Amino acid sequence: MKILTLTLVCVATAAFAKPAKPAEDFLSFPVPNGPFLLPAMTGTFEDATVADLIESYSEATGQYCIMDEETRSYAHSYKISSAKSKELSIPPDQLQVTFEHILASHGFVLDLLSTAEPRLIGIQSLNSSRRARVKAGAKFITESQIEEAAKHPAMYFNTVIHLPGVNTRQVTNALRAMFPDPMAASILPAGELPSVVLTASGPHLRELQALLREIRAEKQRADEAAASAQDKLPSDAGGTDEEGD
Amino acid sequence: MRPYSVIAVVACFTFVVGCESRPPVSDSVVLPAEATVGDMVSLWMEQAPDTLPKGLVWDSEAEHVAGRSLGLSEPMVLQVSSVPRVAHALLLWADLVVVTGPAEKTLYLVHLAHSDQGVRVDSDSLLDGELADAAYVTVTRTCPGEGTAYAGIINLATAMDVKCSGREELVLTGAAGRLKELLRTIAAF
Repeated sequence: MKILTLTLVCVATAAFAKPAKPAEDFLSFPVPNGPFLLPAMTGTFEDATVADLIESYSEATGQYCIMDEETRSYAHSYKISSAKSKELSIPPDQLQVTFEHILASHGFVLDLLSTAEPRLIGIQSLNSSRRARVKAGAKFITESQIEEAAKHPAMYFNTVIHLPGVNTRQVTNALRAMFPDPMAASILPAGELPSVVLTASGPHLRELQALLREIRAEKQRADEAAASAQDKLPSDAGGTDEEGD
Repeated sequence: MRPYSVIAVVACFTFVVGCESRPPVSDSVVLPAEATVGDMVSLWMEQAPDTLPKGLVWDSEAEHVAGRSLGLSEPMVLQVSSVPRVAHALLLWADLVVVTGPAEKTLYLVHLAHSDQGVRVDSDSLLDGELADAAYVTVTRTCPGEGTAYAGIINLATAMDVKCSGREELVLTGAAGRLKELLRTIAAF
């Protein structure tokens, strides 16, 4: 009997102590070994708040989540869902994106403060007095990383999109309406350079990138059409001259 | 072989695997869930005094932040070797920077630190991540677009609590962690 007990203890040690898959950069997050269940401690899912979710996520992934007092009180006051189901079960590989979707839908932003162990995650409410610091924590990504960043709806990024030949001041003025909260997201022209600087959440950046690519393609088509029309002009003009002579 | 012997061997094996997967606990310290910014600084001074040879003091305005809760979701277990790095990350999260003076280092609120207090560093060491996040530093960089990108950079820098002067030759001063992101963005212009 003692040996069986010892065996169970040892098996449990091996099962629970196994670390989650290590993450390498600010776009990679640990993946837990099993399905993520919420709530673990609050009884039923309909009672679970964003604070419960954050606590369970922190335990499941081995990361430390930190919040200022104002953000914490918001996290305790928002219920995740009014659904009557007993629990929320999330597959391990979907945990990060689901967690961030729930955070973002309740107005919380995630800022990865440390990629090395111990991994630290700052969580900030967009309703709090420190909301302006959201842009301070935005990480730079290249245009090619936007697709990966789109899987992080609660994270904010800076990126630069090149728009050769496009009047970037006009474009940024026209698109400013797509940034209803300038404290959290923005679009800026890079001076006289044919580039714009975007600060926004991952999915928002992807939408903006698609739009700007369309503008870039439209400009290219217009330039090609103008060049083609220009090519025709000299021969027409030449013919007229000959006729005149 | 008796079944109990087999079970015992399996038990020992799984126990070893379990123990190996845990981080070593010998040189780790615990920061309680209710720890304040001041507690983190005290821990840093106790556990890694060699990284603060001339001491660390608080600016009078920054001292008000010392009692603010870090807001940890649970007690944090960290290796002693990682204490300075974690302290820097948490200080910057609390909007504090570490200004290196001729004598000791001083903690300032990031928006109150003066631009001439930044330690001059080269942008390569900054971009390589060699500098601690909350270290207050100054770098110079040529403004892209022959100075025309200045207005955009000022906007970005202000949002990141980075002070910016100069026009064609930018002088940027701020927390290393934020300056790094700003420089990477400017490089992509």
